[in-house]
Amino acid sequence: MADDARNDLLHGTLDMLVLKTLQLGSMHGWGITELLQRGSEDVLQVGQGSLYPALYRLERQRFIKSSWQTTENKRRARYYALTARGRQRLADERANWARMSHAIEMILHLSST
Amino acid sequence: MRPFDTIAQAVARLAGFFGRAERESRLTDEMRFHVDMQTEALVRAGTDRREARRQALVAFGGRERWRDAARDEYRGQFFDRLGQDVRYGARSLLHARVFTAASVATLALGIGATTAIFSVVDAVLLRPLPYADPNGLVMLWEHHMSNAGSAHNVTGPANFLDWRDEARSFSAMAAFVTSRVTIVAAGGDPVSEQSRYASAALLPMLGIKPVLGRLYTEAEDRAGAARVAVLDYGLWQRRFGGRRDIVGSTVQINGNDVTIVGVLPKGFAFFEPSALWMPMRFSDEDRTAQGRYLRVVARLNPGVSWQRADLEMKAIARHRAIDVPELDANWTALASPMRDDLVGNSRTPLLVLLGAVGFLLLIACTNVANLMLARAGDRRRELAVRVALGAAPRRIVHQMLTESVMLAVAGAALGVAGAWAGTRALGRMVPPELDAAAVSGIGIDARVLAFVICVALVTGIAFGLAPALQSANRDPKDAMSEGGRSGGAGSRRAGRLRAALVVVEIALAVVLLAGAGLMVRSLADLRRVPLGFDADHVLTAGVALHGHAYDSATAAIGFFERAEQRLAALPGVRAVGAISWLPLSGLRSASSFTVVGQPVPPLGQEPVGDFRAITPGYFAAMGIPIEEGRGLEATDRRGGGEVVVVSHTLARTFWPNGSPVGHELKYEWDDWHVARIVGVAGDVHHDGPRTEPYMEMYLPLEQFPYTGLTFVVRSSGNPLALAAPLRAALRDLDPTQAVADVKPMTDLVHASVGDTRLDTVLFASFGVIGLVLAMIGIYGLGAYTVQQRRHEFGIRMALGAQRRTVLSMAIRRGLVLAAFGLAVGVAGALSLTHLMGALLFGVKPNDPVTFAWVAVALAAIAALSAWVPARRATRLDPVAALRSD
Repeated sequence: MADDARNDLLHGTLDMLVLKTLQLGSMHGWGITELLQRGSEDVLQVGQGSLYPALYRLERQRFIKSSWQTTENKRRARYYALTARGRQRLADERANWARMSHAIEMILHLSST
Repeated sequence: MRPFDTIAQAVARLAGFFGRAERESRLTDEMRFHVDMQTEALVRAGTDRREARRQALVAFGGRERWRDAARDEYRGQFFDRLGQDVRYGARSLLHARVFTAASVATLALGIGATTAIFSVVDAVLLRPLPYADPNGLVMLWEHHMSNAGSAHNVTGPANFLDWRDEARSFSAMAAFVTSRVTIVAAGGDPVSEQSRYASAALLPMLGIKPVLGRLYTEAEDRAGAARVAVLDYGLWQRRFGGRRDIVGSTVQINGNDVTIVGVLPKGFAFFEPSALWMPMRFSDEDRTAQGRYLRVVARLNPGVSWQRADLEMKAIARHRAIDVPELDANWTALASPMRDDLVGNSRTPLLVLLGAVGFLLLIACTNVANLMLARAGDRRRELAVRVALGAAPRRIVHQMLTESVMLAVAGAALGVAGAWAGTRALGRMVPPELDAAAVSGIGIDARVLAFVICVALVTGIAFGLAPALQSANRDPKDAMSEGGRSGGAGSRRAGRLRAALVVVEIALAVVLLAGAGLMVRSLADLRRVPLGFDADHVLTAGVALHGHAYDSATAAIGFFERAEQRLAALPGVRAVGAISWLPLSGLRSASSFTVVGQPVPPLGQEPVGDFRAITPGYFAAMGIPIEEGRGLEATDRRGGGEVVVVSHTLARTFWPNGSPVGHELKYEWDDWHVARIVGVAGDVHHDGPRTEPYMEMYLPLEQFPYTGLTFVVRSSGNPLALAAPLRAALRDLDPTQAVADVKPMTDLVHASVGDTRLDTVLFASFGVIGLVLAMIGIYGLGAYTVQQRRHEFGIRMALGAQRRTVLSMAIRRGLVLAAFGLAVGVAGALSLTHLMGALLFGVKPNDPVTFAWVAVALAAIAALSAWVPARRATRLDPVAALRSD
């Protein structure tokens, strides 16, 4: 039951969430999963099977860019960062999201009176 | 819309696809990093390190599954999209059946014709000759400075032997001559076969190795050496059943016993086909011999260009002219690349035809582009919906280009199938020398297919790009609201583009038609040239006497006399004669002569004329008129004073006003002769209608003995009905002699304009196809215009406009475009047709009559093509027109 809820929520919104996390600063893939999980108090658990394809897709669409960098414990990792296009895209998606969730809220609050 | 961007991205994606190793290592590294970090986190949370790693790996999930997913994203969806576009395109094209059929048929015509012509060009001009190091092979020729003779004149043994000793540019040099010989194998009938005498150096020079036995040697290539021969593979199979024991056996060739020493490889050929190769066997006397009949081939020394060899040949010839003026005064020598001599005169026609067919392909592309634009108009709602649903303009371009390339590929497939059949007919365009050289192998091979694939892709993009960009450029809002109505900015732009395409199409068609018209007029003129004889009802048959029975001239003359009597007695025969070199056979023997009593020109500048030995019945059998004096008679015997009948051209050259009868000519043939002119015969085009008649001297056989003659038999009915009785009569006379080339004279006449006929047929088909395509273009645009403006016409008619007014409004655009296209096309044709000068006969490349006809024909057809859709405008029901969407 809990699993289903997570998947439904993530469907179509993963890109937006990834863009959002990267807005906070450049990050590697594992960092993004961690942040999503912690930030959502363990409600959102992103499977790697979705995360990396999403990252590559976003990179190809030039919303994010990536480069090899060294982590604080001297390990080589692929860091992802937001591009200008990505920033714009995030803004658009946020606006859409806001509109959509507002619309859904309104429907859910319809009373039978 | 930035097309370059699109292309750059496609390339980047492809590069990503191919940069596979780099991609895989990135995926692996990222995965490892991720799992390590997860493990560390679990360890920090207190899990045993081993257990932590296991959990991390489990959490990561099926490695291959996520890697597949990641890979797909990484590589991009280029191929996915291509697949989608192809499926979508196929559905859409199948839906629009008429459009698809018209486009594919048009492209098949264009691509098929181009493929067929290219396959010939490839075989004749591009593919290397099938000999060892063919670029090092040159032909050596002589040339008479008077320019009266051939630019590439054959040489004689004296000069050849001198060149071989003197020239430093060559590592090897060989002479050859083709001749018909009679072969008698043990117990068999005599057969006549075209054969070759060639220096021993020739076959090794070409890099030819025998499949059986050996080639003949230098030692065997001397006078007095034992007679040997090698067999052509074809003859070996045909006459000797491919028997291996043929090597070492003896056959009779022209009455001599000859030992077969080897068999040549299958498919080998060199200039004309030859069944048998024998050494030249030059003797010391040949060093001073007169007469020219040899072709010479040589291999350049490494690092020597043919131009340098040519200079050396000219220097040698200057010395020869001084050393042996009686033979070489006023002669020069030259070297030329062998391919030039093999290709001969076919280069220009082939290149002109390739250009013409290129134009046809352009017209086909233009036409399909036009059809696509029209269809894009019909599809604009479909496309607008796709754009509105989020399809990127790039995606639409991609989709449209996919469709056009699909059309081109379908057209190419169909076209190649057609070309396959067509190349058989085109085999005739290959000069016989090259054909025999087995270079031809015309057909659809890997090279031609590669060419077709390039053509299909380029045409697909060429005709697809404009419509694709056009439709992607539209603002979907415009397109949706515009609906079927005219007037949107997009449709006006599309209309202008279509108009421009129609102008281009008409201009190209005009150029093709002008070329076709010039060819048709040339062919007509060629056929109208009176050849100087009457070929109808004439059968010809060659006999080359061999054997010691005919060693004396009298014996040979006796044979031909008896043969003529027998043939004359056959039922249906009206006249019989014989000649040494038949008109249109391509053979002649020319020599210099002087007129007795007129000033003698300096050595080497004497006039040159053709000598032909005939029997008295020849003029009557061939239908050649005697203009003055008399023909030859059976009483014109050697000893009774030598006589000659000259041709009209010779008579007028030396006696422009008077009669030559009674005057004397002096010529050298083995010996000095003085012959009295007894008559003047009509001119004969011995080398076909394109060549002016030569100065001819007809001599009695007794005076000019030949052992090989061609009988000319005039019948009252179908000449071929005489073939069997003729053979039987000659066999009855002497069963050891072979009869060759039994065919009607009309075959030779037909063949003499064969090249021009084929070029004309091709040009005319290109012209007609081009014209039809241009018609479709004009018609299509007219129909489109009427469709676009039907509201306007409806209103005008509702307001009382005359039908005629509406008609003229609807037709005007088509006519204006046609006029434009015609003007551009005529200008283009005038600047291009001079390239085909070499193909023409009797007309100038800017022949005003042809151009006038083309203009009139095109204007008429353009008017018709514009009128048909315009008439529809006048039949519009104003109410319906106003109501329609």
